[in-house]
Amino acid sequence: MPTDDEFADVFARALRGAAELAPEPVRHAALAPLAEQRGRRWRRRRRTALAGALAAVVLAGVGGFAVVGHGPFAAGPAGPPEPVLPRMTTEEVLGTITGMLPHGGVRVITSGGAGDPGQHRTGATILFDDGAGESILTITAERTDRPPAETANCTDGFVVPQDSCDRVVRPDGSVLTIDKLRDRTEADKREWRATWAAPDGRRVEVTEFNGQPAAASRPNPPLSAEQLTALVTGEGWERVFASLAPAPGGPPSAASPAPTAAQGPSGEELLGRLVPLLPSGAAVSGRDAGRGVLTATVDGRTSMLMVAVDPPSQRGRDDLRGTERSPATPLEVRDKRRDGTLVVTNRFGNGKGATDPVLHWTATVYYPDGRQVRISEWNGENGYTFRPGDPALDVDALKAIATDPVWRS
Amino acid sequence: MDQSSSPDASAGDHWPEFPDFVASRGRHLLRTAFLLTGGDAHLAEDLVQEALGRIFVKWRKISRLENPSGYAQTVLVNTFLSYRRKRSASERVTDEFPEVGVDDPDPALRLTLLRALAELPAKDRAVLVLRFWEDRSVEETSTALRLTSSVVRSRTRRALARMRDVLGDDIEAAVRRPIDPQGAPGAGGPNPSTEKAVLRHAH
Repeated sequence: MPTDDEFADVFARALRGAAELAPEPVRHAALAPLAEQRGRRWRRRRRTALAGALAAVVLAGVGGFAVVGHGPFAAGPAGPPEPVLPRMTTEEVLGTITGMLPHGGVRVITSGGAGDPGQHRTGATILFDDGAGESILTITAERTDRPPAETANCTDGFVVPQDSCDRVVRPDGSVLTIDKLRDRTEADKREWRATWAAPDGRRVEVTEFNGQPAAASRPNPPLSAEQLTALVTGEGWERVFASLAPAPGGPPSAASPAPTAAQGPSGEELLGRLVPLLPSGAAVSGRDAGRGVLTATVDGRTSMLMVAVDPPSQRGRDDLRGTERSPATPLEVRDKRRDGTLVVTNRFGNGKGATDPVLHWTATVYYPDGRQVRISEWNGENGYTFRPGDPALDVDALKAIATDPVWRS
Repeated sequence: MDQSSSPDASAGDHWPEFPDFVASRGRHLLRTAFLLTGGDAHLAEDLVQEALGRIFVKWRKISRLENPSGYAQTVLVNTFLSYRRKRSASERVTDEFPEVGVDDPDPALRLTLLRALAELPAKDRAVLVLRFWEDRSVEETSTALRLTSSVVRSRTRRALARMRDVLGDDIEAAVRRPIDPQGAPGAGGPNPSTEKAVLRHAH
């Protein structure tokens, strides 16, 4: 009989074993972009909630009241009773999925049923063997509160190596995306992702690997683009969706999204201003206007540059104060101007405190009105091949660009 | 090839090192979430995305912290605790599962453990995961969960006792079982537990 301490040790080991069961395929490549997207959405909702709360205060003053949610996980205002959804057992959902797969062996890692009150998502993670070796597939069906423009997009090829991405808007308004990605560091790993999203928020996503994410065991994932398409658009999903509740925020609004608060110039505009500021002789070899990114070669050195400009805001003013109060990281240089503008250049590695090797070069200008101009640089052609060494532009050159008056116009 | 991005992508608040952070920490965060949810892979992924989304909006400040990874774990745990959706019994690790490159001697034990975790109160689960998976001290755990040290101690005792009840003596025998030099689990013939893995054939 182990003592309590001995049991705790044994339990810790068992816990580590259990953690190993966590499936790998978490759309590794897309995790950061998805998190960014969710973060921005969360921020927008928080702002909306704040505006709603202010409205509620006004209403309260005249005898009314309002309830405001706080983010995606919060319970909303009490509404009508939820409709009873037809239940699907785990086996039934699994059967539906396997019924839409090509011939092959299936072993189940996780799987879910449907029809629980409030359940808006189900799916399975399986090992599928088409005869050329098992590969992990994650299949998810969900009802979301977002339109296809937000839920069926190509991953940014500047951030993740991408063999191809095809995005098609279908006649019914649904969007189909087939995104073929590679690992950032290991060239033999493949992650193919198919997404089908309908205007009413229904969404099916399949992610497949060439083996397991941690260990590629075959050249390509088992399902071709055509087979992925057949799977995510299969009629079998109709029954599954009939058993899924609407997303917490309800289906997407048919109206076009309200314009958000001024977010500053578009990426295209920013790149248009950036290029003339590059040193003479600089060659621009690639650009991604969506993210304000371009690749520039100067004196034989090629780097990726990203520019971002935030308009004046309270958040920006808070940032300025927060930066001044925070301790500087090892290679950070701050230059406080007479007019209150703070110019910060920095160099760091894998983390702001890391300096060996240096992998990032940045220049940020914090204006007193909250406006921010940020120029970041990676020593490589894109966001995944950067390496230590001398980048195309040193931090002084970045600083000169970031402080140029063109960003204030 | 249509490289459209979300309308959000043009927002000027992209911080360059965030994807690197996610790439290096995502796997560990998912595992933590998987334990917190008692083996619900879909919910675990949802929680990780939610937590990373919250981290993203404060990334400029978080990236300056001495230990952004620890902060991220805390955000994840608190995201889990604030998750109030009625727990669905729909997405769970199944009885039949393959060997997926694990080195734990007894796969069945892992399933039992996940189920036992799932039956604990959420805060007890968080305490166990922080203490025994994250290897945090009582004080660190109490800070992360905003509990007093004595509450963390009492919850730890209670939750461990519960786990001991459920897992019984099997846990000791299973975890202490020697591992052969090649790292293969449980030398000496096939483990009956792994034979539960069922091969299904579509069509």
